[in-house]
Amino acid sequence: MACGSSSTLTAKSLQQQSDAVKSAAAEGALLAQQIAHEETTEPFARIHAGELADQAKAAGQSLTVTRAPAALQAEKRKAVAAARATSAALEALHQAPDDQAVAERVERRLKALSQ
Amino acid sequence: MSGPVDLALGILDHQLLDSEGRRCGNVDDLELERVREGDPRVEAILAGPPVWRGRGAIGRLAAALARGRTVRVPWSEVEKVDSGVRLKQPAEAYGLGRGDTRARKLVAWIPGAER
Amino acid sequence: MKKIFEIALGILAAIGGFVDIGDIVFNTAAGALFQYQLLWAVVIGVGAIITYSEMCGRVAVVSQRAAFDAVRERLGFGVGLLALVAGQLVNLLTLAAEIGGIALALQLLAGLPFRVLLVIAVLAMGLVIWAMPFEWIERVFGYIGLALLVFAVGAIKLHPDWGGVASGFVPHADTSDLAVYLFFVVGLLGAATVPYEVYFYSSGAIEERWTPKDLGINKANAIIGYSLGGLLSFALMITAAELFYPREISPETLGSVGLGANVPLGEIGLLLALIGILFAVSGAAIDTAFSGAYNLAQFFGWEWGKYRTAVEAPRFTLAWMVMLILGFLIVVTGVDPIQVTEYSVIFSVVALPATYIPILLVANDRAYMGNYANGGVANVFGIFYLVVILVVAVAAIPLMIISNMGQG
Repeated sequence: MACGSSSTLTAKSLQQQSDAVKSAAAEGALLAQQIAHEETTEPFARIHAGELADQAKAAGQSLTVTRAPAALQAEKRKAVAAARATSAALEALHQAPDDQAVAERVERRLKALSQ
Repeated sequence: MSGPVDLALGILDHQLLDSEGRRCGNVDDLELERVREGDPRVEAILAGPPVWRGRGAIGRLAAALARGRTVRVPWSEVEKVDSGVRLKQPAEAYGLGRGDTRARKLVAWIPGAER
Repeated sequence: MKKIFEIALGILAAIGGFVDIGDIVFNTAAGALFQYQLLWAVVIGVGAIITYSEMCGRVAVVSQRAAFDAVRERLGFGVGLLALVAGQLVNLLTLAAEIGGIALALQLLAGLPFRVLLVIAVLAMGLVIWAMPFEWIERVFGYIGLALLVFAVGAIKLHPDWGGVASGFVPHADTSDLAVYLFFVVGLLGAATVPYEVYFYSSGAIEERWTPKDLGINKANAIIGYSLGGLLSFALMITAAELFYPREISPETLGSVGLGANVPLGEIGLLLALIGILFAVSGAAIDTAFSGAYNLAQFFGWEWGKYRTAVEAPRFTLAWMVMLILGFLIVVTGVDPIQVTEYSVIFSVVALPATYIPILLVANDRAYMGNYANGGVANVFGIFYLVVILVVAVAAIPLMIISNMGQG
């Protein structure tokens, strides 16, 4: 997890947090696919989905608490929204780790968010 | 009867082994005689935390932090020198290995400690 | 015939025992970030641990001196004590990382709360060390650790670009972030050569009462065992290169590693991977706790060894128990075990020369080693790796800072 701790957001740290969110989304999509095909175990799916949700949440948090210069405001808003959507989707997996229907929906969602 | 210095200096920091092959400390220092006369001979082996004071600044620091007594083993008690310095009698006869004696009382409480 | 069997068993134990949490973390991350480009670094690392272990084993058998006996004798009390302190701090960090890894693996298998599993992990390790004979520990954890071979199967099933894989064995860096690349070179070398492996190996030779007759087995174990163990590292890297690199996934947890076996091989693959990780990392934790106890005992001249009863070697016994407790206390604070792993590997690299140099010196000393002293070949490798180890030790901390712990 990138740990930029400066008081204003730079383009670089914005990119890093955004990449972290996309990474969690992409990995979550892989996990969701496994759940959808019933090819994983419930504890593994539950724990790992939770870990990925935390990753996305942390990236979003880090963005939220850092002030962005005017030029980056729009990007930051998009990134925060993506982080929220990603962690929500992953949280859904975490709550229903053996539900194939949920997993299929979440997989589509996360695939889109990872682009 | 003291031993040739070359051999003895070679055994500094080596393992002490008692008559039963038990490890009972290291050669922490050596007591030399007749150094000023230009005919140095080793009188005894010294072991124990207070002896570390003679081993440099770090030795003094270590000696200050550790507990224990100085043990003096006359050179005549050395049976032979191979992988360690082998002594003629059991460790207790010299007062060596007292740390293990103290620790033994604690460990003996645990079931299965004698196996 | 019996000898071949013995060699085979030793090799199996070495393969399963080669991989620990540091290898798992760094090989997976390296594959995800740099695809196949760092396979060559694993080769260098395997060469280093083979060279170092073989020397240590030979020194231990011929001179009946384990690693820290040699350190104290060569460096003296003062400098030797500094080496001891540095070595112990690194051991402790490593142990904390391994204990955390055990709990993470258990969590992915059973889903119980992390802290509860930490307690179970430490108690289980303590019980195993207390009750099981030395050879059994090595065999059980080594053999079941072989379940990690599932990553080799999975890697092949993912149809990697074998041309790309081959080119990974030639050092080259096709990246804009050289600092991160070099950081991973250091990390991969460090993960392959973690000091506890060597301390443990040399003391183990004395524990198992090897004689000069066994030196052939020693060499075979080291060379074949660690080489095959290196294959497991390749498998982890190639898996990550296939699964994570194209999707720009940055693996952050042990779950990601599990996913690497889950995707190509389904539920069976996942379970084998997690069990393999659990036993390999548990074996490593035990070895690390022992190393801490061995080092202290050897430096201060206490009786030591699992071949002694607990009452025969009481301070040694208390030492490994205290190591386990301290390791537990570090991880129970809630610090991320993966991060502890990364720091432990980097600091290991910095501390490595302090034990490597005395061993190299003793291995060359004919007064101790007689005819078994280093020959030309052993010294070519020994000195080559001395240079590698020194360069890497100096570069480790600056690279850690410049590359922001590999985050860029």
